[in-house]
Amino acid sequence: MAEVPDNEILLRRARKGDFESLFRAYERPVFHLVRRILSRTEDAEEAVQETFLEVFRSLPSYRGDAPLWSWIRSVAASKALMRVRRQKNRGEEEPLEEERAPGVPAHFSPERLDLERALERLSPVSKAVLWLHDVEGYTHEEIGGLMDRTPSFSKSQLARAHERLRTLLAEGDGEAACIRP
Amino acid sequence: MHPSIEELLNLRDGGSDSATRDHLRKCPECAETLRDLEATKTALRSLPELGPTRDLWPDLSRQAESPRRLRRAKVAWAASAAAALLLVTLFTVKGFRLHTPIENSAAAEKAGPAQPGPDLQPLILESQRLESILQQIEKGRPVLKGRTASAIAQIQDQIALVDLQISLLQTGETASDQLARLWKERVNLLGSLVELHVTKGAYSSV
Repeated sequence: MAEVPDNEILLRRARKGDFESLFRAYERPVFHLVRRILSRTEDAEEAVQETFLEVFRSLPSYRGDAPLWSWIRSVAASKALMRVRRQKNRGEEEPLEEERAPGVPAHFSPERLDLERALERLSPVSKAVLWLHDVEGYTHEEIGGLMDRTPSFSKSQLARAHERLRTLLAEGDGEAACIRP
Repeated sequence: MHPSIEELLNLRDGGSDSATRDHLRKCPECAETLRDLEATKTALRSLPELGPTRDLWPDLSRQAESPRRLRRAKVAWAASAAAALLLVTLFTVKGFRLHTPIENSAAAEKAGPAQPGPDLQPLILESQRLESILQQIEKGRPVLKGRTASAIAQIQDQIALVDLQISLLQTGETASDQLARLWKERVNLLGSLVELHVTKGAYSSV
């Protein structure tokens, strides 16, 4: 995501108690990230709230060493992963298929719809690694750090996610999983 | 032997495994798999942005506000506690024993100096009357809401401070107008406490 140009103003306002401007500026990218990792919209909405509460609380210690979005994104990723961990501990690791991603536009192409469906059928951990690595650009070292695991764990989860995606997409159209963006 | 998906992904992401590269030159099947992996990454990145189904700000702002309120209450409580501690310390250092104003008043009456003047008697009587009302309320008091309980605790803290000041003043030669002011303050605070119990206590019992 492109850096919002008036971050300084947003930060100054937030430090004076106007949190809403900061929230409005980043709510959508944060939601998009956590919703892609979490299967349920309500879980994603709660993760968004947890993310911003943490951001608001930590504002006094934010020194601007990392760009604002990178910082908020790492908080969001960590909140989403915490939920994934909790779900796993509760034995809820099986992917949920009950819900289609809301906000999917009507003009969505079948290839993309297949990919959306396949994505939702991945295990939460695999999906999280896939999204953080392939879309958000996190390294395996960073993902390992966020998940309290090794980089090798992240690499094997990414491979597993791609293998599963290929299978699901092949099942979907009966041919090799070649995805045309 | 074909490379694994993990090895192909490593190559896709900038790795330089020469054995895998050599294999891809000879194996169209693996070369196609690598192209698929690249295409998947591009496709994932082009998925549409998802947005929340409702406005999350109202809930969030409430949650963001409650810890700040709690912090403010803690600061106020800490300030009251510090003031009380200071008074108690001063009082102890001076070698006096703590009494409630009424007990102290009786003790002072025996000792002689600083007897409550006639202008204090109505205030002391009113204070006693309000205290007995409060005792009655306390007996059948329902569970109070947090905010009401916190307001009551604050008033009780203020009364405790006034009591300490009255106790201090009653031990020596004291201008009766100072004592009268403190007794008046005590009566007002007790009145507020009774009012709070009567008005808020009724709602919180529902």
